[in-house]
Amino acid sequence: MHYILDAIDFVLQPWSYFIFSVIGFWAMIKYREKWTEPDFAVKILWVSIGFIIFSMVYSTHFRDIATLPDNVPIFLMVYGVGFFTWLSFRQAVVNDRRIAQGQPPVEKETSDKKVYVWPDLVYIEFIATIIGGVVLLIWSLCLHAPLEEAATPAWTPNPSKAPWYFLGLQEMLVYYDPWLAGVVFPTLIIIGLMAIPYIDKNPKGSGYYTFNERPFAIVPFLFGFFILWVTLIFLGTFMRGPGWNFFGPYENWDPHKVVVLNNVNLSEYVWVRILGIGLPTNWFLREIWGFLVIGFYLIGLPPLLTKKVPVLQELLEKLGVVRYGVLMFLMLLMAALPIKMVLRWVFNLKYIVGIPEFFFNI
Amino acid sequence: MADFKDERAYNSKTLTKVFLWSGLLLLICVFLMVWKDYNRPWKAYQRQFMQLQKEQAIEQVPDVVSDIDVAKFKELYEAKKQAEKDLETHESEISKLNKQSADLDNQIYKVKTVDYQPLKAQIDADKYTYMARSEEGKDNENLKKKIDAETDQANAYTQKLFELNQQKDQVAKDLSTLYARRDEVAGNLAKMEADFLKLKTKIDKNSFSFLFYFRNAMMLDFLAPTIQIQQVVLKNLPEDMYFAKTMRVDRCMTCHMAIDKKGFENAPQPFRTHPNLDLYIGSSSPHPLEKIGCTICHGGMGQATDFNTCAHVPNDDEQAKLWKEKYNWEQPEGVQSTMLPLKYTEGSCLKCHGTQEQVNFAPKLNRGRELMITRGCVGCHKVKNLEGLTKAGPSLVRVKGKLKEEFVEKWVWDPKSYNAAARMPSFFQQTNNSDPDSLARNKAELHSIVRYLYTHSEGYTPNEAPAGGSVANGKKIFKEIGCLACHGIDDVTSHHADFAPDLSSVGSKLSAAFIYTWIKNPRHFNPDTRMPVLRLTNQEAADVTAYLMSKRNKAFDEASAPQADPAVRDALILDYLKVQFGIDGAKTQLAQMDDKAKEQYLGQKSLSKYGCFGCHMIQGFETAQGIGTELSDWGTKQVSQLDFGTTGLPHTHEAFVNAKLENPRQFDNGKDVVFNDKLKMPNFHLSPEDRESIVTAVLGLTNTYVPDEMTAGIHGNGPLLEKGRRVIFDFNCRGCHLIEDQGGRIREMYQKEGIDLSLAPPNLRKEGAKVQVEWFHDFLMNVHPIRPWLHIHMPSFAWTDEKIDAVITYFNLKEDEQAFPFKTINVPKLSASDLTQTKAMFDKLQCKKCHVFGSQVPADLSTAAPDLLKVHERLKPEWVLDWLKNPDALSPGVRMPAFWPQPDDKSPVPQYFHGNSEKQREMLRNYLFMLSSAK
Repeated sequence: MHYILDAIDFVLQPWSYFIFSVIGFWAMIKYREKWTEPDFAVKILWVSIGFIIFSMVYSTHFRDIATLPDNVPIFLMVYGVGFFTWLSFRQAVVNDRRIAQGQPPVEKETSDKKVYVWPDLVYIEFIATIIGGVVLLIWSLCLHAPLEEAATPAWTPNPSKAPWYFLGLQEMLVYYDPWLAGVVFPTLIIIGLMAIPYIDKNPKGSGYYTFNERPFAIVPFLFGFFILWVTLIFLGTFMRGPGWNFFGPYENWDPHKVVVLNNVNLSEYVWVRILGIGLPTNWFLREIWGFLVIGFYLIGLPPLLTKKVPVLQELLEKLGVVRYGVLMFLMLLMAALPIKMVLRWVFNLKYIVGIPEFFFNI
Repeated sequence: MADFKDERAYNSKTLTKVFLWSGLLLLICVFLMVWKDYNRPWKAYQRQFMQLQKEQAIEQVPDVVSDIDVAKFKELYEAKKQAEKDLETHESEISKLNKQSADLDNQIYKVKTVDYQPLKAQIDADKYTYMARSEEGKDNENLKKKIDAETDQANAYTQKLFELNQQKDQVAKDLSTLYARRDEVAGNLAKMEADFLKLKTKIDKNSFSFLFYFRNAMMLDFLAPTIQIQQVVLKNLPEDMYFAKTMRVDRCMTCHMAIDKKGFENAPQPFRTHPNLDLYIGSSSPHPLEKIGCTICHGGMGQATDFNTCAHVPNDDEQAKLWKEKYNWEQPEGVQSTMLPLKYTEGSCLKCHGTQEQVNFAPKLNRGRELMITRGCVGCHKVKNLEGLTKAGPSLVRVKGKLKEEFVEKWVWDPKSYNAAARMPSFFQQTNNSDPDSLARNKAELHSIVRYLYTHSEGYTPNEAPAGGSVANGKKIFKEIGCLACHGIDDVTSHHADFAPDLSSVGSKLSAAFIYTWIKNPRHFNPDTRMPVLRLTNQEAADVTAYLMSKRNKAFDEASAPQADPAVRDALILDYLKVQFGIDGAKTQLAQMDDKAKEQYLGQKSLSKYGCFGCHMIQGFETAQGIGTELSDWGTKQVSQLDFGTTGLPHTHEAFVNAKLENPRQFDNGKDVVFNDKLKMPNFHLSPEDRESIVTAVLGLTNTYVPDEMTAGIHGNGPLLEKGRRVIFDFNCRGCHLIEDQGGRIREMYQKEGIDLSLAPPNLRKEGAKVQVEWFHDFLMNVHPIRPWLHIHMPSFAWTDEKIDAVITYFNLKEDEQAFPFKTINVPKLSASDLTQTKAMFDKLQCKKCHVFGSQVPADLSTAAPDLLKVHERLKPEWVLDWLKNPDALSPGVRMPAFWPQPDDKSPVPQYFHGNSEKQREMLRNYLFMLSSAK
């Protein structure tokens, strides 16, 4: 059995994990008609549970990690996200079928009826509160709070992991400097989420679930949420070990593991490897290529894309320049993370702009 | 899904049912929560302990009851009854007195609280006003008058109170006179019952009564529970939480309830009494519970009250297995401090006693520390408080004049092949360097090392040894004179000292001339050696030389030295040079070297690499630093910082050190390591016991914060005592003598061979109180036998004044005697009549039967006692008195009889000085001091 485990460990690398996630995401969108069938969904559920049981039985390491009180929320998250995604897609698929046949969405049938706040709303809220309380109490009775030893400045725990819900952010820190991954991106995520209602002018899909009527709103959002957040949390939990090294899900976390980390800055690529001359001493000159790339990406690329891609052309007309500009800016920044990840894996690229003189690294 | 019947989204009946069930579930969960909070394992232990105490008390009842004299008890009981009857006849008188007493109480109350106290308050207020007004310069005349009047009144009240109290005392006295008889009888009765009642109280207290259940009931136990957490708070031993120091709180006794109570020595855990209450925990012990607590010694999480969260650590695998079954035990992880396995607990002594040379009652720790010094651990590893000590191995500054090159190569290549008891550890032919490639390189290194040593060695020529010498006689002298206190040899199995080199094969190592010269005067070869002079005659020295030269290791003699390959040597040199000069430069450099230069270069590099200078004095390495990891706080190093490699050991400190000592190179197993980066710690071939001792000593090296006031050996005379102890350790005084009742290791041989222990070197208990400072100094400067007829010799150490001073100061301060300035010895002379009596007593006691008396010697000289004519110049008068009174207390097992058996102190010769033992001893002492001075 360990051959299977070793094979999974071997196959799973940061880049392959990312590719598998993206393929999975694509399949999820593409074959939504299929997997939203309840029968099929139940099969997926059983396969996933079977896989976890298999992992727990055959890998003590996986079992140790999975049963840590810290990591219980991860399973809640995985199955919670899975269930609610399924539910929304199921309803969207049903509605899309009805719309295609010229019928109104399911929600339409009840949307003109009224119910009382008391007891219909308040009562079920109260019951939900009670059940929530029961769940929390049972949880706290069964599992101890995962406290660690007293903090010491001389010795940080290894691995030093953020709370589980921040592991996606922590994964970003592998690819970007703290000022970006820890400050700018999180801020932009919040601003971006706040901006959605102002950018999204599409009146369709209001009050009912649909996919076909708003694919452009759903796909990028879910990409950001699934690929750049949820799967990274999963990765951070099960595949990041001591030294923040990447470990297969069944690989023992050896704190003394040594891996190759020869990351190279863009400036070195251009000046040393391509042009064959040394690095200029002046930091601006040295990093000029990085600045050009960033400048092009943020300023040059949007008009170019708009010109070349007809869908974007339409979008520009629909949204107007300001909305469109903000949207593009946010989208490009979101894309910056996977782009940098890919660049790291393919070219060992460390920084596009790297100015250690005053800690400005991109 | 909403069904919208009757304009309602949900069926209200269903909702109510769901509400009912979820509400019930919540209630159950709340109950479970309270129960879980209430039901702590330690509570069960406390209930069990109550049961245990109760059972023990009940068991004792028959004994206590049988001690009571029933007839007397009955008699007293009757007497009490009678006394109470008698009291009835005085009934009117008693009631009158009681009434008077009550009346007086009322009056006293009135005068005190109604009259006096308000007036006193008024006076104080007026006095304040007086002061305030005079500060403002106002007229105070009327106020002054008022205060005076009030004060007079207050004094009158005080007087009244005094009188009333006197009257009351009188009434009470009258009453007690009447009750006197009854009270006396009742008191006696109570005394007889006391033990029984005490037991009864104990039984009642530990019974599970309704009140017990009420006070400890769930939700009510916040009021006044009897089952509760027990703890000590240790302000002086804070826990270092890195950012702040918090008070250490130990709650171990919450479950270990009998830890400070005698009588539970055999009870099952956790209710066993501490095995050494006199030394620990007991309130009169040096380590009382309320001051020292538990975790500072045992480690673990003092605040936790659950078996696993306390970080219990088992002593061995067997216990681990037991605990796993019984407590679901797991190796503690992520806690600040785990418990030390019981066998290593002595290590914790170092937290407070780290600056001391020896820790009393910690033999394992002392042995570990000793091994760390004598085996040379501290030569490579820096250890706090064990710095700047004499190097463990011999000086190689004159090695050329002592050893043959071939010997050194064979010896270092495999020390065990020369002598199984060799202390020199094995660097070569170990698990990580036994491949052909490493062997070849090691041989090249070794050869260059030896060449370096011989080039950097001063010349030395020993004196000629006289020809002849009896091996048999030499063997006898060697065994008897005291060599065995430091050296081991395979001819003697009853005792094996390892303080100095084992001499079982020394004939294969040294020349006769060297041994002879060395025995006669070790400083001829090495002025700094610790080897003393035994004052042997030339013939004796020749005999010992002959004996030692006969001790050869044939196999070793016949073996050939490892052969170094110059090509391998050059490759090694190239590796070093490469770093500095690059590969081409290195080749050029190498080409410029001749063989000698190459040997010197590689020798020097290899000596640095293996850290040989940690143990040996080597020219050119006088200031080199040890090459090992610093161990000063190794015991608190994070386990995750230790590289266990592929050893598969449990990840604990103790497993790591033990494995490191057992086979230091095993941590290279399964690794691809460059030759020069291979682990270099040599194999010391230690026995499991010795390893355990060293593990104890290493685990005790922590960075636990202990404030100065809790540190031993640094207050008052501490540093001076330690200075003396260091000399005593360095020169192995304990090899022969018992000092602070520790050591006297050579006695092992006397015991095993059935030799009278009184012929062994003396116990130096109270030596400071015993001998005069001047004598002590002269003796150490110029050792002369006190009992010349003994075989074993006190050797002559060539000590500096500083060392002698340290030793004398140590012995004196230890007995609270002042060494300096000198004390006058002042013993009164006997009067003529006293002298006659004393002389008679002296003869009667037959002192001369054992003691030498100037030129008069006892019949059996071999067991004789010291010369009495020298008492006056050697002994302190106070000590002589103590000695005469109880010699065994000062030197256990001594032959000197206790003439005045203690504790009765009955005189054996009652005819002198009216049988006053004290006086007799004093007279005898004065006689001894006079007698000698009269000579």
